[in-house]
Amino acid sequence: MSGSKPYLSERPRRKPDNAYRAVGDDGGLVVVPTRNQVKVLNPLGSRIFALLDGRHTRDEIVAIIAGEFEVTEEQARQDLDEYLRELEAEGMLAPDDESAPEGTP
Amino acid sequence: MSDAAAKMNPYTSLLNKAFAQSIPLNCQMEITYRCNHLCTFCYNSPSGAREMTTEQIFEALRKVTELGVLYLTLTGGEAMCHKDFFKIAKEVRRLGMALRVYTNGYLLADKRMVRRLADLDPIEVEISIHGARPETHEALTHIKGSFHKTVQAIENLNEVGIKVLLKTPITRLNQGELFEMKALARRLKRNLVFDAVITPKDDGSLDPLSLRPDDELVRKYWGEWYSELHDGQLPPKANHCASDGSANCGTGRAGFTIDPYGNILPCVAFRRKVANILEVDDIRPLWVSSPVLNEVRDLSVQARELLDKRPEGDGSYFTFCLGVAEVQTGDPLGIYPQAAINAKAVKRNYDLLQIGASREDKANSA
Repeated sequence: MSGSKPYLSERPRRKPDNAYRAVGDDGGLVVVPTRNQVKVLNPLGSRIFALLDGRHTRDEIVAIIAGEFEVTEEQARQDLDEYLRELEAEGMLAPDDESAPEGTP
Repeated sequence: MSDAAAKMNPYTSLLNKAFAQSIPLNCQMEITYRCNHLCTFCYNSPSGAREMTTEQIFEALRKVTELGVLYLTLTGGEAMCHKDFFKIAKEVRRLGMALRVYTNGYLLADKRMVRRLADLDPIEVEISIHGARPETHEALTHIKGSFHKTVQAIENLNEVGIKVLLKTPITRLNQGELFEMKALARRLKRNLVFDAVITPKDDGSLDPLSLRPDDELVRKYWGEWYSELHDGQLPPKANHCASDGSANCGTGRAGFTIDPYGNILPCVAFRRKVANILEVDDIRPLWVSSPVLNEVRDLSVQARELLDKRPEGDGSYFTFCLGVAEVQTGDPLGIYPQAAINAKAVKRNYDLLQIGASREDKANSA
Protein backbone atom coordinates (compact mmCIF):
# COMPACT_ATOMS: atom_id res chain seq x y z
CA MET A 1 0.00 0.00 0.00
CA SER A 2 1.47 3.29 -1.03
CA GLY A 3 -0.80 5.73 0.80
CA SER A 4 -0.90 9.06 -0.98
CA LYS A 5 2.10 8.41 -3.23
CA PRO A 6 0.78 7.05 -6.53
CA TYR A 7 4.29 6.56 -7.92
CA LEU A 8 4.90 3.92 -5.25
CA SER A 9 1.71 2.05 -6.08
CA GLU A 10 2.04 -1.67 -6.69
CA ARG A 11 -0.23 -1.25 -9.72
CA PRO A 12 0.46 2.30 -10.93
CA ARG A 13 -2.29 3.89 -12.97
CA ARG A 14 -2.37 6.94 -15.21
CA LYS A 15 -5.25 9.38 -14.72
CA PRO A 16 -7.98 8.22 -17.08
CA ASP A 17 -8.80 11.74 -18.28
CA ASN A 18 -5.28 12.36 -19.65
CA ALA A 19 -5.99 11.73 -23.33
CA TYR A 20 -3.32 9.36 -24.64
CA ARG A 21 -2.61 7.98 -28.09
CA ALA A 22 0.20 5.64 -29.17
CA VAL A 23 1.46 6.29 -32.71
CA GLY A 24 2.56 2.86 -33.86
CA ASP A 25 5.91 2.02 -32.27
CA ASP A 26 7.15 5.57 -32.75
CA GLY A 27 6.00 7.02 -29.46
CA GLY A 28 2.81 8.61 -28.21
CA LEU A 29 0.96 11.80 -27.42
CA VAL A 30 -0.72 12.63 -24.16
CA VAL A 31 -2.81 15.72 -23.57
CA VAL A 32 -2.59 17.36 -20.19
CA PRO A 33 -5.71 19.51 -20.24
CA THR A 34 -5.06 21.32 -16.97
CA ARG A 35 -1.96 22.80 -18.58
CA ASN A 36 -3.26 23.02 -22.16
CA GLN A 37 -0.22 21.05 -23.27
CA VAL A 38 0.50 18.04 -25.37
CA LYS A 39 3.31 15.92 -24.04
CA VAL A 40 5.28 13.91 -26.58
CA LEU A 41 6.36 10.49 -25.34
CA ASN A 42 9.30 8.61 -26.80
CA PRO A 43 8.80 4.92 -27.62
CA LEU A 44 9.88 3.76 -24.13
CA GLY A 45 7.77 6.42 -22.38
CA SER A 46 4.78 5.60 -24.55
CA ARG A 47 5.03 1.87 -23.86
CA ILE A 48 5.29 2.40 -20.10
CA PHE A 49 2.41 4.90 -20.19
CA ALA A 50 0.22 2.35 -21.97
CA LEU A 51 1.01 -0.19 -19.26
CA LEU A 52 -0.02 2.14 -16.42
CA ASP A 53 -3.56 0.81 -16.51
CA GLY A 54 -3.89 -0.24 -12.87
CA ARG A 55 -3.85 -3.91 -13.89
CA HIS A 56 -0.14 -4.47 -14.49
CA THR A 57 2.10 -4.70 -11.42
CA ARG A 58 5.45 -2.92 -11.27
CA ASP A 59 7.23 -6.26 -11.67
CA GLU A 60 5.17 -7.11 -14.74
CA ILE A 61 5.91 -3.72 -16.31
CA VAL A 62 9.62 -4.14 -15.60
CA ALA A 63 9.63 -7.60 -17.21
CA ILE A 64 7.79 -6.34 -20.33
CA ILE A 65 10.08 -3.33 -20.75
CA ALA A 66 13.25 -5.40 -20.21
CA GLY A 67 12.07 -7.88 -22.84
CA GLU A 68 10.89 -5.40 -25.47
CA PHE A 69 13.68 -2.83 -25.15
CA GLU A 70 16.52 -5.28 -24.52
CA VAL A 71 17.72 -3.74 -21.25
CA THR A 72 18.44 -5.41 -17.93
CA GLU A 73 15.63 -5.67 -15.40
CA GLU A 74 17.66 -3.44 -13.10
CA GLN A 75 17.85 -0.74 -15.76
CA ALA A 76 14.13 -1.14 -16.60
CA ARG A 77 13.18 -0.79 -12.92
CA GLN A 78 15.30 2.34 -12.59
CA ASP A 79 13.71 3.84 -15.74
CA LEU A 80 10.23 2.99 -14.47
CA ASP A 81 10.83 4.50 -11.01
CA GLU A 82 12.22 7.68 -12.52
CA TYR A 83 9.39 7.97 -15.00
CA LEU A 84 6.69 7.41 -12.38
CA ARG A 85 8.17 10.17 -10.20
CA GLU A 86 8.16 12.48 -13.21
CA LEU A 87 4.54 11.66 -14.04
CA GLU A 88 3.45 12.15 -10.47
CA ALA A 89 5.16 15.53 -10.32
CA GLU A 90 3.11 16.47 -13.36
CA GLY A 91 -0.09 15.25 -11.74
CA MET A 92 -0.63 12.50 -14.28
CA LEU A 93 -0.98 9.48 -11.97
CA ALA A 94 -4.23 8.47 -10.32
CA PRO A 95 -4.16 8.10 -6.55
CA ASP A 96 -4.44 4.61 -5.11
CA ASP A 97 -7.69 5.33 -3.36
CA GLU A 98 -9.61 6.07 -6.62
CA SER A 99 -11.87 3.23 -7.65
CA ALA A 100 -9.91 0.64 -9.57
CA PRO A 101 -10.74 -0.01 -13.24
CA GLU A 102 -12.89 -2.91 -14.34
CA GLY A 103 -11.06 -6.21 -14.48
CA THR A 104 -8.58 -5.32 -11.75
CA PRO A 105 -7.84 -8.45 -9.76
CA MET B 1 18.53 13.34 -42.43
CA SER B 2 17.31 16.41 -44.33
CA ASP B 3 17.59 19.88 -42.77
CA ALA B 4 13.81 20.03 -42.58
CA ALA B 5 13.60 16.70 -40.76
CA ALA B 6 16.40 17.68 -38.40
CA LYS B 7 14.60 20.91 -37.51
CA MET B 8 11.25 19.19 -36.98
CA ASN B 9 10.10 19.16 -33.38
CA PRO B 10 9.10 15.82 -31.81
CA TYR B 11 5.40 16.73 -31.85
CA THR B 12 5.38 17.52 -35.58
CA SER B 13 7.45 14.45 -36.27
CA LEU B 14 4.91 12.24 -34.47
CA LEU B 15 1.98 13.96 -36.22
CA ASN B 16 3.64 13.27 -39.57
CA LYS B 17 4.07 9.62 -38.65
CA ALA B 18 0.41 9.39 -37.62
CA PHE B 19 -0.58 11.09 -40.90
CA ALA B 20 1.53 8.71 -42.99
CA GLN B 21 -0.04 5.73 -41.24
CA SER B 22 -3.58 7.22 -41.47
CA ILE B 23 -3.95 7.12 -37.69
CA PRO B 24 -6.91 9.36 -36.88
CA LEU B 25 -6.15 11.72 -34.01
CA ASN B 26 -9.18 13.99 -34.46
CA CYS B 27 -12.92 13.54 -34.58
CA GLN B 28 -15.49 16.30 -35.01
CA MET B 29 -18.83 15.25 -33.67
CA GLU B 30 -21.84 17.31 -34.72
CA ILE B 31 -24.20 16.50 -31.86
CA THR B 32 -27.17 18.51 -33.12
CA TYR B 33 -28.21 20.76 -35.96
CA ARG B 34 -30.21 22.89 -33.55
CA CYS B 35 -28.87 26.41 -33.25
CA ASN B 36 -29.74 29.67 -31.52
CA HIS B 37 -28.42 31.75 -34.43
CA LEU B 38 -29.73 32.08 -37.98
CA CYS B 39 -26.49 32.70 -39.89
CA THR B 40 -27.16 33.37 -43.55
CA PHE B 41 -24.09 31.49 -44.77
CA CYS B 42 -24.39 28.40 -42.55
CA TYR B 43 -23.36 25.25 -44.44
CA ASN B 44 -25.52 22.82 -42.40
CA SER B 45 -28.35 21.13 -44.26
CA PRO B 46 -30.49 19.15 -41.82
CA SER B 47 -32.34 16.36 -43.62
CA GLY B 48 -35.16 16.19 -41.10
CA ALA B 49 -34.12 12.69 -39.99
CA ARG B 50 -34.07 11.85 -36.28
CA GLU B 51 -30.86 12.95 -34.58
CA MET B 52 -28.94 10.53 -32.36
CA THR B 53 -30.22 10.25 -28.80
CA THR B 54 -27.83 10.98 -25.95
CA GLU B 55 -27.44 7.23 -25.37
CA GLN B 56 -26.57 6.74 -29.03
CA ILE B 57 -24.05 9.59 -28.85
CA PHE B 58 -22.45 7.80 -25.88
CA GLU B 59 -22.30 4.60 -27.94
CA ALA B 60 -20.68 6.52 -30.82
CA LEU B 61 -18.15 8.10 -28.47
CA ARG B 62 -17.19 4.69 -27.13
CA LYS B 63 -16.50 3.45 -30.66
CA VAL B 64 -14.54 6.60 -31.47
CA THR B 65 -12.42 6.02 -28.35
CA GLU B 66 -11.74 2.43 -29.39
CA LEU B 67 -10.38 3.78 -32.67
CA GLY B 68 -7.85 5.72 -30.60
CA VAL B 69 -8.93 9.31 -31.24
CA LEU B 70 -7.09 11.86 -29.11
CA TYR B 71 -8.95 15.13 -29.78
CA LEU B 72 -12.76 15.14 -29.80
CA THR B 73 -14.48 18.30 -30.96
CA LEU B 74 -18.12 18.88 -30.09
CA THR B 75 -19.82 21.01 -32.69
CA GLY B 76 -23.18 21.48 -34.39
CA GLY B 77 -25.37 23.36 -35.29
CA GLU B 78 -24.66 24.92 -31.94
CA ALA B 79 -23.33 22.13 -29.74
CA MET B 80 -24.36 23.89 -26.55
CA CYS B 81 -28.00 23.89 -27.68
CA HIS B 82 -28.07 20.13 -27.11
CA LYS B 83 -30.06 19.51 -23.92
CA ASP B 84 -27.38 17.08 -22.69
CA PHE B 85 -24.33 19.03 -23.84
CA PHE B 86 -22.60 18.84 -20.46
CA LYS B 87 -23.37 15.13 -20.02
CA ILE B 88 -21.87 14.46 -23.44
CA ALA B 89 -18.81 16.66 -22.79
CA LYS B 90 -18.28 14.87 -19.46
CA GLU B 91 -18.43 11.51 -21.24
CA VAL B 92 -15.78 12.67 -23.72
CA ARG B 93 -13.46 13.42 -20.81
CA ARG B 94 -14.37 10.24 -18.93
CA LEU B 95 -13.35 8.25 -22.00
CA GLY B 96 -9.96 9.95 -21.89
CA MET B 97 -10.19 12.18 -24.95
CA ALA B 98 -9.19 15.83 -25.03
CA LEU B 99 -12.24 18.05 -25.41
CA ARG B 100 -12.55 20.92 -27.85
CA VAL B 101 -15.77 22.88 -28.37
CA TYR B 102 -16.86 24.93 -31.39
CA THR B 103 -19.53 27.41 -30.36
CA ASN B 104 -21.00 30.80 -31.15
CA GLY B 105 -20.51 31.61 -27.46
CA TYR B 106 -24.06 32.87 -26.94
CA LEU B 107 -24.80 30.61 -23.98
CA LEU B 108 -21.36 31.18 -22.43
CA ALA B 109 -22.33 34.75 -21.62
CA ASP B 110 -23.76 33.05 -18.53
CA LYS B 111 -20.93 32.59 -16.02
CA ARG B 112 -22.57 29.50 -14.52
CA MET B 113 -22.27 27.76 -17.89
CA VAL B 114 -18.62 28.78 -18.12
CA ARG B 115 -17.88 27.35 -14.69
CA ARG B 116 -19.51 24.03 -15.67
CA LEU B 117 -17.41 23.96 -18.81
CA ALA B 118 -14.23 24.84 -16.90
CA ASP B 119 -14.80 21.81 -14.65
CA LEU B 120 -14.30 19.63 -17.75
CA ASP B 121 -10.86 21.11 -18.57
CA PRO B 122 -11.43 21.64 -22.31
CA ILE B 123 -8.17 22.15 -24.19
CA GLU B 124 -9.75 24.84 -26.32
CA VAL B 125 -12.98 26.63 -27.13
CA GLU B 126 -13.30 28.06 -30.62
CA ILE B 127 -15.76 30.93 -31.02
CA SER B 128 -17.05 32.45 -34.25
CA ILE B 129 -17.25 36.21 -34.38
CA HIS B 130 -18.61 37.93 -37.46
CA GLY B 131 -17.82 41.60 -37.03
CA ALA B 132 -16.22 44.22 -34.86
CA ARG B 133 -19.53 45.94 -34.26
CA PRO B 134 -22.93 44.64 -33.13
CA GLU B 135 -24.67 45.70 -36.35
CA THR B 136 -22.23 43.74 -38.54
CA HIS B 137 -22.15 40.60 -36.38
CA GLU B 138 -25.92 40.60 -36.02
CA ALA B 139 -26.53 41.21 -39.73
CA LEU B 140 -25.10 37.70 -40.15
CA THR B 141 -26.45 35.96 -37.05
CA HIS B 142 -29.89 37.64 -37.23
CA ILE B 143 -30.03 37.55 -33.42
CA LYS B 144 -30.24 40.88 -31.63
CA GLY B 145 -27.83 41.12 -28.73
CA SER B 146 -25.69 38.22 -29.97
CA PHE B 147 -22.56 40.38 -30.41
CA HIS B 148 -22.45 41.51 -26.79
CA LYS B 149 -23.18 37.98 -25.56
CA THR B 150 -20.30 36.57 -27.63
CA VAL B 151 -17.88 39.21 -26.34
CA GLN B 152 -19.09 38.57 -22.78
CA ALA B 153 -18.51 34.84 -23.32
CA ILE B 154 -14.90 35.45 -24.36
CA GLU B 155 -14.32 37.60 -21.28
CA ASN B 156 -15.90 34.93 -19.07
CA LEU B 157 -13.71 32.21 -20.56
CA ASN B 158 -10.65 34.41 -20.07
CA GLU B 159 -11.53 34.79 -16.40
CA VAL B 160 -11.43 31.04 -15.78
CA GLY B 161 -8.34 30.50 -17.94
CA ILE B 162 -9.86 28.47 -20.77
CA LYS B 163 -7.92 28.81 -24.02
CA VAL B 164 -10.04 30.53 -26.67
CA LEU B 165 -9.49 30.83 -30.40
CA LEU B 166 -11.60 33.31 -32.34
CA LYS B 167 -12.61 32.55 -35.91
CA THR B 168 -14.07 34.82 -38.56
CA PRO B 169 -15.32 33.78 -41.96
CA ILE B 170 -14.68 36.83 -44.16
CA THR B 171 -17.88 37.95 -45.84
CA ARG B 172 -19.05 40.86 -47.95
CA LEU B 173 -20.56 42.32 -44.77
CA ASN B 174 -17.48 42.27 -42.50
CA GLN B 175 -14.71 42.64 -45.08
CA GLY B 176 -14.34 46.35 -44.25
CA GLU B 177 -13.59 45.79 -40.59
CA LEU B 178 -10.91 43.10 -40.50
CA PHE B 179 -8.46 45.38 -38.72
CA GLU B 180 -11.09 46.45 -36.21
CA MET B 181 -11.77 42.77 -35.51
CA LYS B 182 -8.06 42.17 -35.03
CA ALA B 183 -8.00 45.08 -32.56
CA LEU B 184 -10.99 43.61 -30.74
CA ALA B 185 -9.23 40.23 -30.48
CA ARG B 186 -6.12 41.96 -29.12
CA ARG B 187 -8.23 43.75 -26.53
CA LEU B 188 -9.71 40.38 -25.57
CA LYS B 189 -6.16 38.92 -25.51
CA ARG B 190 -7.09 36.12 -27.93
CA ASN B 191 -5.85 34.93 -31.30
CA LEU B 192 -8.12 35.45 -34.28
CA VAL B 193 -8.02 33.46 -37.49
CA PHE B 194 -9.83 34.50 -40.64
CA ASP B 195 -11.27 32.17 -43.23
CA ALA B 196 -11.44 33.69 -46.70
CA VAL B 197 -13.47 30.84 -48.20
CA ILE B 198 -17.24 30.76 -47.81
CA THR B 199 -18.37 27.22 -48.53
CA PRO B 200 -21.55 26.02 -50.26
CA LYS B 201 -24.21 24.31 -48.18
CA ASP B 202 -23.80 20.61 -47.48
CA ASP B 203 -26.76 19.88 -49.76
CA GLY B 204 -24.99 21.56 -52.68
CA SER B 205 -26.83 24.89 -52.53
CA LEU B 206 -24.56 27.74 -53.58
CA ASP B 207 -26.65 30.40 -51.77
CA PRO B 208 -24.00 31.16 -49.11
CA LEU B 209 -21.56 32.16 -51.87
CA SER B 210 -23.54 35.38 -52.41
CA LEU B 211 -21.86 36.56 -49.20
CA ARG B 212 -18.37 35.91 -50.53
CA PRO B 213 -15.95 38.82 -50.07
CA ASP B 214 -14.96 40.87 -53.14
CA ASP B 215 -12.08 39.44 -55.19
CA GLU B 216 -10.07 42.64 -54.74
CA LEU B 217 -10.49 42.39 -50.97
CA VAL B 218 -9.34 38.76 -51.07
CA ARG B 219 -6.21 39.79 -52.98
CA LYS B 220 -5.43 42.44 -50.38
CA TYR B 221 -6.12 40.03 -47.53
CA TRP B 222 -3.66 37.42 -48.80
CA GLY B 223 -1.23 40.12 -49.90
CA GLU B 224 -0.38 43.32 -48.08
CA TRP B 225 -2.77 42.75 -45.15
CA TYR B 226 -2.02 39.17 -44.18
CA SER B 227 1.07 39.62 -42.03
CA GLU B 228 -0.38 42.57 -40.15
CA LEU B 229 -3.56 40.64 -39.43
CA HIS B 230 -1.61 37.58 -38.27
CA ASP B 231 1.11 39.04 -36.07
CA GLY B 232 3.83 38.93 -38.72
CA GLN B 233 3.12 35.45 -40.06
CA LEU B 234 3.16 34.63 -43.76
CA PRO B 235 0.13 33.07 -45.45
CA PRO B 236 -0.06 29.27 -45.27
CA LYS B 237 1.12 27.41 -48.36
CA ALA B 238 -0.98 24.32 -47.66
CA ASN B 239 -3.99 23.13 -45.69
CA HIS B 240 -3.35 23.12 -41.95
CA CYS B 241 -4.29 19.43 -41.80
CA ALA B 242 -1.85 18.35 -44.54
CA SER B 243 0.77 17.11 -42.20
CA ASP B 244 3.61 15.70 -44.29
CA GLY B 245 2.91 17.11 -47.77
CA SER B 246 2.18 13.74 -49.38
CA ALA B 247 -1.54 14.49 -49.59
CA ASN B 248 -3.51 17.69 -50.08
CA CYS B 249 -5.19 17.47 -46.69
CA GLY B 250 -6.09 15.14 -43.85
CA THR B 251 -9.55 14.17 -45.06
CA GLY B 252 -10.30 10.58 -44.06
CA ARG B 253 -6.77 10.27 -42.78
CA ALA B 254 -5.93 12.56 -39.85
CA GLY B 255 -9.52 12.61 -38.64
CA PHE B 256 -13.17 12.36 -39.55
CA THR B 257 -16.59 13.82 -38.80
CA ILE B 258 -19.80 12.33 -37.44
CA ASP B 259 -23.05 14.12 -38.25
CA PRO B 260 -26.05 14.31 -35.88
CA TYR B 261 -27.58 11.22 -37.52
CA GLY B 262 -24.50 9.11 -36.80
CA ASN B 263 -23.10 9.15 -40.33
CA ILE B 264 -19.32 8.92 -40.50
CA LEU B 265 -17.87 11.38 -43.04
CA PRO B 266 -14.24 11.77 -44.18
CA CYS B 267 -14.20 15.34 -42.84
CA VAL B 268 -16.48 18.26 -42.10
CA ALA B 269 -16.23 19.56 -45.67
CA PHE B 270 -16.08 16.31 -47.67
CA ARG B 271 -19.38 14.70 -46.74
CA ARG B 272 -19.39 11.34 -48.47
CA LYS B 273 -21.04 8.81 -46.22
CA VAL B 274 -18.63 6.11 -45.04
CA ALA B 275 -21.11 4.25 -42.81
CA ASN B 276 -23.45 4.91 -39.92
CA ILE B 277 -21.64 4.50 -36.64
CA LEU B 278 -24.73 3.00 -35.00
CA GLU B 279 -24.84 0.24 -37.61
CA VAL B 280 -21.28 -1.02 -37.12
CA ASP B 281 -19.99 -2.78 -34.02
CA ASP B 282 -16.42 -1.63 -34.41
CA ILE B 283 -15.11 1.16 -36.63
CA ARG B 284 -11.49 -0.02 -36.53
CA PRO B 285 -11.77 -2.45 -39.48
CA LEU B 286 -13.85 0.12 -41.35
CA TRP B 287 -11.14 2.74 -40.94
CA VAL B 288 -8.66 0.44 -42.65
CA SER B 289 -10.77 -1.07 -45.42
CA SER B 290 -13.63 1.31 -46.24
CA PRO B 291 -13.74 1.82 -50.03
CA VAL B 292 -15.03 5.37 -49.47
CA LEU B 293 -12.16 6.29 -47.16
CA ASN B 294 -9.58 4.67 -49.41
CA GLU B 295 -10.94 6.55 -52.42
CA VAL B 296 -10.93 9.83 -50.50
CA ARG B 297 -7.33 9.26 -49.37
CA ASP B 298 -6.30 8.53 -52.95
CA LEU B 299 -8.11 11.64 -54.18
CA SER B 300 -6.23 13.73 -51.64
CA VAL B 301 -2.91 12.40 -52.95
CA GLN B 302 -4.04 12.98 -56.55
CA ALA B 303 -5.06 16.54 -55.68
CA ARG B 304 -1.58 17.24 -54.33
CA GLU B 305 0.03 15.82 -57.48
CA LEU B 306 -2.29 17.79 -59.80
CA LEU B 307 -1.64 21.02 -57.94
CA ASP B 308 2.12 20.46 -58.06
CA LYS B 309 1.90 20.12 -61.87
CA ARG B 310 -0.11 23.28 -62.51
CA PRO B 311 1.39 25.22 -65.43
CA GLU B 312 0.68 28.49 -63.59
CA GLY B 313 3.31 27.44 -61.02
CA ASP B 314 0.99 28.37 -58.15
CA GLY B 315 0.13 24.82 -57.06
CA SER B 316 2.27 24.95 -53.95
CA TYR B 317 0.31 27.99 -52.73
CA PHE B 318 -3.11 26.33 -52.82
CA THR B 319 -5.27 25.69 -49.80
CA PHE B 320 -7.58 23.39 -51.68
CA CYS B 321 -10.68 21.62 -50.36
CA LEU B 322 -11.88 18.46 -52.11
CA GLY B 323 -15.33 18.81 -50.55
CA VAL B 324 -15.84 22.38 -51.75
CA ALA B 325 -14.53 21.38 -55.18
CA GLU B 326 -17.01 18.52 -55.45
CA VAL B 327 -20.00 20.64 -54.44
CA GLN B 328 -18.99 23.61 -56.56
CA THR B 329 -17.65 21.95 -59.71
CA GLY B 330 -19.01 18.40 -59.50
CA ASP B 331 -15.44 17.08 -59.39
CA PRO B 332 -13.42 16.74 -56.14
CA LEU B 333 -10.32 17.59 -58.17
CA GLY B 334 -11.91 20.52 -60.01
CA ILE B 335 -10.35 23.92 -59.39
CA TYR B 336 -12.98 26.29 -57.97
CA PRO B 337 -12.62 30.06 -58.40
CA GLN B 338 -11.97 30.97 -54.75
CA ALA B 339 -9.06 28.53 -54.45
CA ALA B 340 -7.43 29.86 -57.61
CA ILE B 341 -7.83 33.50 -56.56
CA ASN B 342 -6.39 32.75 -53.13
CA ALA B 343 -3.41 30.81 -54.52
CA LYS B 344 -2.58 33.55 -57.03
CA ALA B 345 -2.66 36.18 -54.28
CA VAL B 346 -0.53 34.10 -51.89
CA LYS B 347 2.02 33.41 -54.64
CA ARG B 348 2.22 37.12 -55.44
CA ASN B 349 2.85 37.85 -51.77
CA TYR B 350 5.75 35.36 -51.65
CA ASP B 351 7.12 36.62 -55.01
CA LEU B 352 7.16 40.18 -53.69
CA LEU B 353 8.94 39.05 -50.54
CA GLN B 354 11.63 37.38 -52.67
CA ILE B 355 12.09 40.53 -54.75
CA GLY B 356 12.37 42.52 -51.53
CA ALA B 357 14.89 40.06 -50.10
CA SER B 358 17.08 40.07 -53.21
CA ARG B 359 17.06 43.90 -53.28
CA GLU B 360 18.12 43.91 -49.65
CA ASP B 361 20.92 41.43 -50.41
CA LYS B 362 22.18 43.63 -53.23
CA ALA B 363 22.06 46.71 -51.03
CA ASN B 364 23.97 44.91 -48.27
CA SER B 365 26.66 43.68 -50.63
CA ALA B 366 27.09 47.08 -52.32
